[in-house]
This record gives sequence, C-alpha cells and structure tokens, in this order.
Amino acid sequence: MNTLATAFALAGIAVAAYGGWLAWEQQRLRQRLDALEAQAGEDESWPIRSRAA
Amino acid sequence: MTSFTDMARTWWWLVHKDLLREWRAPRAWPAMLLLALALAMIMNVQIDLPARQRAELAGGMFWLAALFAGSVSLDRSFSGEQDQACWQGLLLYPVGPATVFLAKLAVNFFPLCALEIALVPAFTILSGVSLLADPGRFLATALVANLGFSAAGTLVSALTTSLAQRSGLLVLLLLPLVLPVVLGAVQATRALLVGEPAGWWSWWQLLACFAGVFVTLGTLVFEFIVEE
Amino acid sequence: MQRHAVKRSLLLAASFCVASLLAVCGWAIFLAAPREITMGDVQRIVYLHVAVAWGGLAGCVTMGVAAAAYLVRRNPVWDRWSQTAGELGWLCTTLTLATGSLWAHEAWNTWWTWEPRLTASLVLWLVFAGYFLVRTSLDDPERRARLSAVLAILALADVPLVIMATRWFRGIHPVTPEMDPRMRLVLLTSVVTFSALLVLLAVLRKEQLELAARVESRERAAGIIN
Repeated sequence: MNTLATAFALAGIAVAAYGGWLAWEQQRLRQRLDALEAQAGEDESWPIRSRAA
Repeated sequence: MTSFTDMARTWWWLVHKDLLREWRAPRAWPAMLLLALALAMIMNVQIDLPARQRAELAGGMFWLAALFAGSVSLDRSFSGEQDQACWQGLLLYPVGPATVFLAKLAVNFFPLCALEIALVPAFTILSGVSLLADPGRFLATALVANLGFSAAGTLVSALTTSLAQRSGLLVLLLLPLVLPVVLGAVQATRALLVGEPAGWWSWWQLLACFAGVFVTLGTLVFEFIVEE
Repeated sequence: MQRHAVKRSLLLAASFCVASLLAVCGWAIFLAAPREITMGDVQRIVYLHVAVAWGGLAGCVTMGVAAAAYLVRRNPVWDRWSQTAGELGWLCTTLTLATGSLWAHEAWNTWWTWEPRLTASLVLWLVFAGYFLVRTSLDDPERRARLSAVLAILALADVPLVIMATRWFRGIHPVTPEMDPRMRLVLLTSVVTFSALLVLLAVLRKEQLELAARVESRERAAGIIN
C-alpha cells in the first residue's frame, strides 16, 4: 500500500511542481516585461511598442 | 544540376582528402586502435568460462570495444574543419550537403571497418573464440552495424561540433540513439557463435533497418545542421 | 484585449474540466476499479504507469513532429511546441521510470530490471535529457531551434527501433495482458484524464514561451543581451 501511495504522491508532486514553476516563471516574465516597457517609456528615442493583448 | 558522376567525384574527393590527411598525420587512428586493444584485453583478462559461455559473451565484448573505440574517430569528424576555420570554406563549394554527409559518413565508416579487421584476430587470440566461424554472416553483420553507427555518429558529431562544451556531449547524445545498433550487433554475433541462424536473421534485419533509416535521414537533415 | 479575455476564460473553463476529470479519475482508480487478485491494491499503480508512459511517448512524437514542422516552416511557434512537448515528455518519462521501478519492486522484488519497457524508457529519458542539454548550450534562438529540431527528429526515428530492439532482446512479444473489462475502462479513463492534463499544461507553457520570446527580443533590442 505504501508503494501505491508513493507512486501517486510522486506523480502529484511532479505535476504540482511543474505547475508551480510555470506560475513562478509567469510572474517573473510579467515583471520583466513591465520593467522593460517602463524603461522604454522613459527613453524617448526608443519606439514605443504597445503591449499586444 | 550536378550529375551523378559529378556528385560521385566530389564525394570521392572529400573522402580521400580527409582520409589522406589522417593518414599523413595520424591522430585519431592510433588512439582508436590502442583503445580497442586495451578494451579487448581488459574484457578478456578474467574470463575463464567454459566454451559455450565464452561464445555467448565474445560478441558483446568485441562490439563494445569496436564501437567505443569508433566513437573516438567520430569526435574528430568535423574538428578538422572547425579548428582551421575551413567550415565556411567547405560550405561555399557547389557541393550539396547530402554529398558532404555521405563523405563524412564514409570517413567514419572505412576506418571503423579497418579497425575491426585489426581487432578480430586480436580478439580471437585473447578470448579463444573464433569470431570468424561464419565469416560471410559476420561480415554482413559488421557492414550494416558499422554503417548505422557511422551514420548516427556523423550526425551527432556535426551537431555537437557547433556547441560550446562538446567533449562529453557527443557520447551522451550518441549512446541512447545507437542502442539498437549495439544490441543488434551483439545479439547477431551471439546468434552466429552459438548457432542460431534464424535469430541472426532477425537481428540483421534490425541492423539493416537502422542503417537504412539513419543514412536516409542523414542525407535529409544534414543541411539543417550545417546551414549558416 | 477581447481576444485576451476570451483566451483567459477558455483556459479557466479548461482547468475546471481537467480538475473534474481528475476527481472522477481518482474515484475510478481507487474506488471503482476492482481489487486485483495476485497483487492486491498495489496493482493500481498500473493506471498511473500506463498513463505517464503514454505521455512520455506522445511527448516524444509531438516534439519530433513539431521539430520537423519548424524546419520546414521556420515559424518559431513550432519550436515552442517542440520545447513544451519535450519538457512534459521528460516529466512523464521520469514518472514512468519511477512508477515502473516501484512496480518492479513489488512484482519482482528488484528496483531495476532490463525489461524492454523500462530499458526503452531509460533510453527515452536520456534522449530528452540530451535535447535539453543541446538547447541550454545554445544562446542564439535560431540555431537553438534548428539544432534541437534535428536532434528531436533523430530521436523520433530512433524510438521505434529501440522499442523493437529491447522487445526482441527480452523475447517478449507485445501482447496486451488479460484485463477485466472494468479495469480496462478505468485505464482508459486514466489515460484520457492524464492526456487532458498534459494538453492543458502544454498550452499554458506554450503561451508562456511566447511571452518569454517577447521579453527576450525586447532585451535584445535594449542591448541587455547580445
């Protein structure tokens, strides 16, 4: 029975970990994009790109 | 459009250029031979089994020694071009990438065959098993195994030549890809040595299949590896 | 903005569906499926093992097909699908090895055996690992996409040969084992559920890779990376 629980627990942890990593990475990318756009906004010489929906 | 004779002539020129370069200043070939002999010795030194068991194992040991040593030559397939910045030069010639692939394949194939020719007698002496009990079938096995191995190896070598940390990556990428060849060659030889012609035929077919797939695939995808 | 909102609601709906499927599947595996005679409850691992094994293979195939599409079309979207399929395929293959190993311990009292499916899974795992090693050692997005695509295609051609070789090696012919029809149904449920989960994760990850590509091109334009 322990084995069964271990197997499903492993699968659950793996999927949860991947999902969690996706969420974290999404957060990081959004912050990066915002930072880059803020920087582009400050510098007049950069073409202003509207964020695609 | 280049005719077939043009392609064949270019192919031969490319093959003979690389083989001649290696012949004049051998760097890979002595290493290959020595490695193969060393492996053959190490593997045979403790084997003190009855004849039947030795026959079962000899094929495996032979192929491991040959193919492992063969990957030494693979590593150097493209390093010549890379080191002396001849890579771009080679691509500028009106030579189709498929021809270049087939040439590099030949440059890996022929030395591997030669290595095995040298290794067979050494192995026979060291293990006491005559690998040439059925010379025709053994030769057929070796030809397709070497072809498949060289094809896969040439492709992986081209891939890893352009990468930063190449040294370990070639073998790491190659091993899972050539498992069918290693398994096929070992099992086919085993079937030969213990006298199972039906078994040998199945394994030979697998080897031929692998060789066919990877040579064809190579001619198709090689251009994507080398395009600038 | 509208398209963005529609996309979000679709993804939310999909997530809800997958969550429901998971609940149903959980019930099916642990409660509805009959208890197996020889191995007892541990046999239920098979419902997970087959699902993840299928996921690994599907990942490999998708990775290869998307790679071929990239080489023909040169649209980066295909490369993103290829990468996504590779990541999820690698995840599934790791789970295949883990669950297979746990099963082997219960059934044959050994953690590892050169049984055809485990051997082929190990090879597959190494192939995925190689794919990511190649990807991480290349910075230029075009070269990275192109060279990893070639490797994915080689892998795709190789996997059937590995499966054939390992099956012949162990002398085991691919025959579906005798299975109680209720168990078969649960197995199907499990595979469908897990596939749905994988597709959802794949779509999310692919969208994220689009975002990452946008960030990367901005950084390149701003001179932050070369």
